[in-house]
Amino acid sequence: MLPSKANAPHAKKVLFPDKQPTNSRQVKSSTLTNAAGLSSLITFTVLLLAWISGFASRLFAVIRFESIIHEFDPWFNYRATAYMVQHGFYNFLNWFDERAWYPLGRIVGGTVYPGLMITSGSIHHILHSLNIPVHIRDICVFLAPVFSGLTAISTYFLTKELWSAGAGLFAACFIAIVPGYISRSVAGSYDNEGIAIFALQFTYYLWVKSVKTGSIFWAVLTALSYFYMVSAWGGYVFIINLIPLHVFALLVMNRYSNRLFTSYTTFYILGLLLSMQIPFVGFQPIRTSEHMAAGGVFGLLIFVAVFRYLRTMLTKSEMKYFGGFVTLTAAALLLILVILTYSGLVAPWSGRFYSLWDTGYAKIHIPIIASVSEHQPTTWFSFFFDLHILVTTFPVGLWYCIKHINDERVFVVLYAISAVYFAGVMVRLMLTLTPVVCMLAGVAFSGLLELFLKEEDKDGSDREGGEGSEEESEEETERSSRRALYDEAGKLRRMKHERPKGSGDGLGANLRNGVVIGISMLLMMFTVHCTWVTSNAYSSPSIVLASYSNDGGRSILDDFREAYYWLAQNTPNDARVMSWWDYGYQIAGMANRTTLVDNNTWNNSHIALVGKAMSSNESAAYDIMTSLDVDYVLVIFGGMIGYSGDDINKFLWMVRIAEGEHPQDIRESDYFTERGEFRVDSEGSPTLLNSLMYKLSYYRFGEVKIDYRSPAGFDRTRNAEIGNKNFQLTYLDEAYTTEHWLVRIYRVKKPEEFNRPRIPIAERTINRRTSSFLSKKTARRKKGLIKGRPTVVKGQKPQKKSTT
Amino acid sequence: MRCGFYLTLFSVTILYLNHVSGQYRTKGNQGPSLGERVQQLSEMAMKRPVLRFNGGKFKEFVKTTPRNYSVIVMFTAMAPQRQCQICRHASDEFTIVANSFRYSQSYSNKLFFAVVDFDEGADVFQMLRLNTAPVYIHFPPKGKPKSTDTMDIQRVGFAAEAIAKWISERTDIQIRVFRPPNYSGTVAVVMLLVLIGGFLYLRRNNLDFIYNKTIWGLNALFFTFAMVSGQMWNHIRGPPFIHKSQNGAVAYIHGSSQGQFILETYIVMVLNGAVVLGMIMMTEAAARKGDVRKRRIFAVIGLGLVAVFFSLILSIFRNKAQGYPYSLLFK
Amino acid sequence: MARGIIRGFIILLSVCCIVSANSETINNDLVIKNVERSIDLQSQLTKIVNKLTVENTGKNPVKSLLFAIEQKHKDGLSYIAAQTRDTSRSALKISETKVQNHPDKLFYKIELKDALSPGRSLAIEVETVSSNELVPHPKEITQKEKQLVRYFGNVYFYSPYTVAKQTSVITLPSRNVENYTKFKPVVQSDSTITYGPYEKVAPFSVEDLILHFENNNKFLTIKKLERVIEISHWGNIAIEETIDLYHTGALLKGSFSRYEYARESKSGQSSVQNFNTILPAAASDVYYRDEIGNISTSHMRIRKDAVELNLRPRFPLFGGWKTHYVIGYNVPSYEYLFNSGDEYLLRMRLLDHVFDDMVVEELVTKIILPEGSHSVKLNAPYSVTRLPDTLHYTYLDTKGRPVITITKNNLVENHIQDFQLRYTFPRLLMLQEPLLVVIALYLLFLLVIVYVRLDFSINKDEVSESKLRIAGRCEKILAAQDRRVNSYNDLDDQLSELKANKNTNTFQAAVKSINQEYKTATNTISELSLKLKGESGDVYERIQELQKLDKALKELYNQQQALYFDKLIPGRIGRQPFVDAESVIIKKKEETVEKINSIVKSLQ
Repeated sequence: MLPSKANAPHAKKVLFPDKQPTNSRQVKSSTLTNAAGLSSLITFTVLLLAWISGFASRLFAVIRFESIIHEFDPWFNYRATAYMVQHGFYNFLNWFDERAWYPLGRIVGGTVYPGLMITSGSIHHILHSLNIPVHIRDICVFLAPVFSGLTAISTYFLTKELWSAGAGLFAACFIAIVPGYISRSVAGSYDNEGIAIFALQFTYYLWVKSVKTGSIFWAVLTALSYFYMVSAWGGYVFIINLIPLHVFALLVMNRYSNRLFTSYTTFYILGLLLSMQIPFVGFQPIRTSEHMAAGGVFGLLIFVAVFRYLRTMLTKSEMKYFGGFVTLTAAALLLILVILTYSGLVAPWSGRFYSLWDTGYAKIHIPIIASVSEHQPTTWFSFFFDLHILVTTFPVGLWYCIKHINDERVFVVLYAISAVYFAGVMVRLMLTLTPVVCMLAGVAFSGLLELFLKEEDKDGSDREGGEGSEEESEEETERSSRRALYDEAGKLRRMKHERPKGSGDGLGANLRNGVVIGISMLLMMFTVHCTWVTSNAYSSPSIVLASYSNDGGRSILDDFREAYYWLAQNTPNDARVMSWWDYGYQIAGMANRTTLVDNNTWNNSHIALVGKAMSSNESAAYDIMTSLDVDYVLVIFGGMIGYSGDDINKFLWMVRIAEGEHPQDIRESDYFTERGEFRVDSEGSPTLLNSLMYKLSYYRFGEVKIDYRSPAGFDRTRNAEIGNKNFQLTYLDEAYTTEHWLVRIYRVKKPEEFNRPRIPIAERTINRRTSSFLSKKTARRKKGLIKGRPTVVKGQKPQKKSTT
Repeated sequence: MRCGFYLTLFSVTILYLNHVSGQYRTKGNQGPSLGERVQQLSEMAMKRPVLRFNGGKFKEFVKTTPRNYSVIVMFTAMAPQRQCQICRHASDEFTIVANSFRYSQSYSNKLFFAVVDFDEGADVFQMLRLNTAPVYIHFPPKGKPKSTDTMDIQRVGFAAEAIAKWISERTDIQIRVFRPPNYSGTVAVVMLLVLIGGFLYLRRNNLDFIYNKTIWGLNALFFTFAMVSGQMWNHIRGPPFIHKSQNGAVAYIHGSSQGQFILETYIVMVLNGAVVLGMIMMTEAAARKGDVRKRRIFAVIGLGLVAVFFSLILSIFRNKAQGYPYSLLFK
Repeated sequence: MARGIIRGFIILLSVCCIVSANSETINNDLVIKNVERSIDLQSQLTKIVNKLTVENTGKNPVKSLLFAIEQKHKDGLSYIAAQTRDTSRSALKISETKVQNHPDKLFYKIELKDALSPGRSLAIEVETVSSNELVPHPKEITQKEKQLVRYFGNVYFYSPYTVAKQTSVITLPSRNVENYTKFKPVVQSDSTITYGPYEKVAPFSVEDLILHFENNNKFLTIKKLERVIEISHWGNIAIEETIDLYHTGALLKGSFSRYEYARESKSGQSSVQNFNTILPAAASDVYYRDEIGNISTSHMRIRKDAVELNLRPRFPLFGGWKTHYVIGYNVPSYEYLFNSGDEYLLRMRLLDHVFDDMVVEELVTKIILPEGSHSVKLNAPYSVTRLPDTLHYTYLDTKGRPVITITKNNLVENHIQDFQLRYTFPRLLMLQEPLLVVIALYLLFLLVIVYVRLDFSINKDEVSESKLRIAGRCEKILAAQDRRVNSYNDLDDQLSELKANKNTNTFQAAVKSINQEYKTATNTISELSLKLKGESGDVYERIQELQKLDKALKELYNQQQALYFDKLIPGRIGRQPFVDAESVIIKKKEETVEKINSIVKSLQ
């Protein structure tokens, strides 16, 4: 017995050459059964790492400075959230903010997307009900990074539905660190986009899922997620147009199915009803053209369904009639829509939306929109800057999605095409492009690596190979992505070497290794690029400025907060502060004082009034200011330290917007020299040199000598010695100026204060002379010689710094 | 933008002038009364919204007082030998404004549009000391035109909207500009549709080419490349094709990260395409079954494409972004 | 420790004295032989040190003497203490009291340690500190003017007893004095003014003293200082102070010019740009912030005996301006928290240093004890009002932590003294919070496990289920098939052996067992296949196929065996034909094996 057992294998080789493989395959199949567990473990690990690294790479600002809310809009969101946490949800919904847009006030509850506030508010509530006393500010600061992890996970699911788990892991890792998304979700940038992208991806995932399964359950979930999206961001319009587009495309491609019917009808009805529950949205879904496509597709879908149903029971001839009937009704509906639009029942496209199609629209009609930097078109540079390798590889994924098309891939293709168009038109819409780019790039990479890391066994039948490569690819993805998180280069290569080599389908092991190494090199570059961009471009809270000296020492310029806190502490609680609209939210948020205009630029004429006050001379401005009973005027002045984003550089936009409303009083040409230049030195036009903004910026600056080389009153930002020195202010009074002169606050005198003849005769005559002499001068200088373009057209860049 | 030409025939005009003045005086004496002039003007305006004035007409209707109407006059030089191609656009825009005023409900005989061509009214140019064209001047009902009555073209340009805005500033008459809809685009679209339709009709027996995924894929890729390489930016901003500096040096790549040239975007498009091609080749090489040697070669080529062209893009990017540290093959 | 207890004891006594303030009488036997009064007006406070020499001219010994405060200085007074002037300098118990037919004045009763027997004299020292007595005059100054204040005092030492001889020395911050009451004899030598000596002054005699002088020192008042001390038995005490700071000097008139402020050192002399706060030496992770984030302009210097913090408000404080900030730090608890068993004693400062010569209008000190501590006993260094206790909830709290709240008005630096707080805290409660965490995690994992195990789907997914079942069956079948294969292999071995050494009986024996094994395997397969029949036809078909082939294979083996038995062993076959026959059989075998393998593969 025993000896026979002993040399059994030898005999086996003789007769059953493939029993050994069979046995091994038995073993293997048993491993495959718990390989499910293994792969799920890997998936979990990768997603967790993606989350952690995504979170970590968004903390540059917090680590460099502190846990603080960034730029402008976040301050409003933060203020609103704090209000909601303090006063409760319902008071928040009908909160009338009398501190904004004085004297108009602002109905906040009805004019915000409350999703952001509700999210962080509920997190705060839960934590506090667990006795975890986290300050609402910290929740607001860290909300976006946390949600970026959720975005990564939902992206994983979506990609998994579209292609494969490996691709999903790739996509999750990409979107965790891609700058195009980090730009809007660093810690402290507490803005709608931070959570909206998660809502977007999740809605799309649920939608794809529901189309695949055709179950009402998923469709309902889709509608709910869509509801969250509506409550979170105005970009929900993208969803409500893309999903109908998907349905329409499927219909055109003759891919109608009952699954489609179920999911879309459920989603549309529920989504419509839910979205109308948001106060700010209200009846727009049935009143505006942005939403009409969805309705039309809904009707069309039902028509097709009926059509198909009838075709089962009608004869050919009757079908003809029916077809005609369908076309007629469709035409009639279209007609009705058009009529409604003209009769004004259905509002035409809103300006911002319209400017997406007619690209020149905003420039002509809406200066405020045009003045905003993130509404500019996108150069290839910023595409590459935000997406790096992904931008060059996601077309591959697109290609394969089209090659192996199916229902959900139709969706991703449409998503990619539309998103890439919008991103081309507006920089800020890069945000909607980024997720799909990550997904498609993930498809491309995982497809490649799946093939190149396939373990080749001699008689690999397809199914076998498929499984093998699936497992491999996941393992691979896991490694490469983990390397993509922290770049442990070379780990990949070692693994390759210990991989058993075979030459089943040709390309030898060396070539495979070469390709894999090359790809991992690219991914490595991607990660370092992401880190670099994030740390250099997207991680500065524009509240605190840091200036680096030559020896690397860092000094913090905290002037903004200095001034705002001064306002908060040392002005009467109901004081009204006039400033340019960029700083409205910050003044309201940090100084808690009443502002005239702020970053929610809904009332152009009011802004124009402020612009007029800033750009007209002191006495005229005083009339406006008293009519708006302004107590304090706040201007940003960078000339002392060379801060380029200050009010003088934005001044032309004030003039322009003012001119738009008051063409009689303000004329942009008066602020240029006869050569059409915008300059603050003695060459500058007298209107500019006597405008309120100029005086408030340069009051007593003429006496300052920054260093010995430069003359007194040398403006570092514009590199010019100012033209109008040692003048006195008649109607205002320097109330406070920060340490580096960055923020200057003036108090508007009450009439009894300056009516007393305190101003010496000499100065009074000087004032009058300049004013009259100004008008004469301009009168002569306005001879219209056609010279080259005014430099100001180029010089507009700085004042585009203003944000919406 | 820079346009305009300088008069050379001073002597002629100076000779001309006293005669002009004489003529002017006589006209001034027994010119038609205000009512008649308004009558004539509105009749002419009925016929054609933009009145063509020569020197005489100009003096008769614009120079003579009293007036109760204001006139917007465009001084231009349309004659081909003047080679003032900008005047053509200007006059088009001007006509648009005039038409939209003529057919708007706010039409009245308080405002008239006129054009004076240099070759018809050189004396007027002399009189107003104009040595450039085109110039828009508003002649108010009372008094002489002030400096602000001359439209500042090089600032606001002479788009119809700008002119209308300026007019409403000067004379508080709001003109809503109705551009005659530009049919060329629609016509092109219609033609395209017709062509496609006809094509489909001809090929109606076998329409499977519609289901050809390769075509669709190629279209999608092309569109993507166009967008990603910033063609939309070109479309909106209209940058130069390439930049020639004074010393004749030609820059293909815009120096700063804010701008780009058209050629540059084409280059980027090609580079992207090459990288994509490389990746597809690699994938196909591994996916296909068949001749091993050919597929090996494919894979190698693909890898090469990706590596080389991606590092090319990276180097361009690096040159545009100041202080960007990373690069692949090329600096 | 012991000193603290003693002081606490004194406090208790003084308190009960206040309670039982039965009105005193002025003992005229007492005469103050000499008074040296030094009034320090350098800061915003008026610090007066009266050095008295008291003589008992009466018959019977005196246990206590009275110290009087004028009407107008009543409410300014914030601190008073008395001590003997002998070498021991031991503090005397001093307490507020009432005096007959002097209702308007404020009297303090100084208890002597041992009675002053007749004829003897005693030297004691009474120190008073009072705030808000220097009023800026003029009330408003511009940025470049300097700050002038006025002091209204009394030339004489205000006493209920006759004073034999007295002098007063007034110290001023600077030499430039606008004017002062010329009441002979008086001398001004540069920044000090000396009044007196005066002889034989009657009780309660007042001679107005008005000083008008320059004082640019910090006129800062802390309107409200909230000091929160949170105790953790894990070795840390967290202290946080919320401070409302006012500049109570002369108001700023007109505009503030940064240009002049930056350029000329003289402008804004009375403004406060920064001040030093002294923290305990063990203080760590200090933070200094307000509602809108860190205040980045501050420096920390670590000294041997203290941590010195140079705080700059966000903006310089001019007259009438105010600011508000929070400062916090941690100290290790072993320095302040002592325990024996479950009894704990906390000894910390009731009020801590904010800046030199500070004035605190209202102090609120909150002490947050660990959760579950009870029977709290507080004794304070001086009389304070204790507000009702509250509860405070923070991380992992269930029933809340007790909060002791103490408040007092009008404090100065001399009030920086320790309080003592005794409480009981059962040690076991320290395990509560870790346990909470553990339990929470445990529950979480339990939940996950349960969730994974359970199947929440409403309807069973038949297809996949049957797939799984089939797969399971196939597994079994394949296992059986393997066994069969093994049996074949054994058979092969046996055959080869048989071929080698023609030993039939061993072979028979071996083959029997092998066949046994083989049969069982075949049977299992067949019954499994029957089970499969219902679920999926094609698998069943394939297995039938398998069985057929297997039969054939078996048949072949039998043939081979027969060949060996009948032909080879008897040897009634030639070499060549045998080889042919065998090779034929073997080829057939291999073909069938191929088929079988293909089926097996398809089954996986």
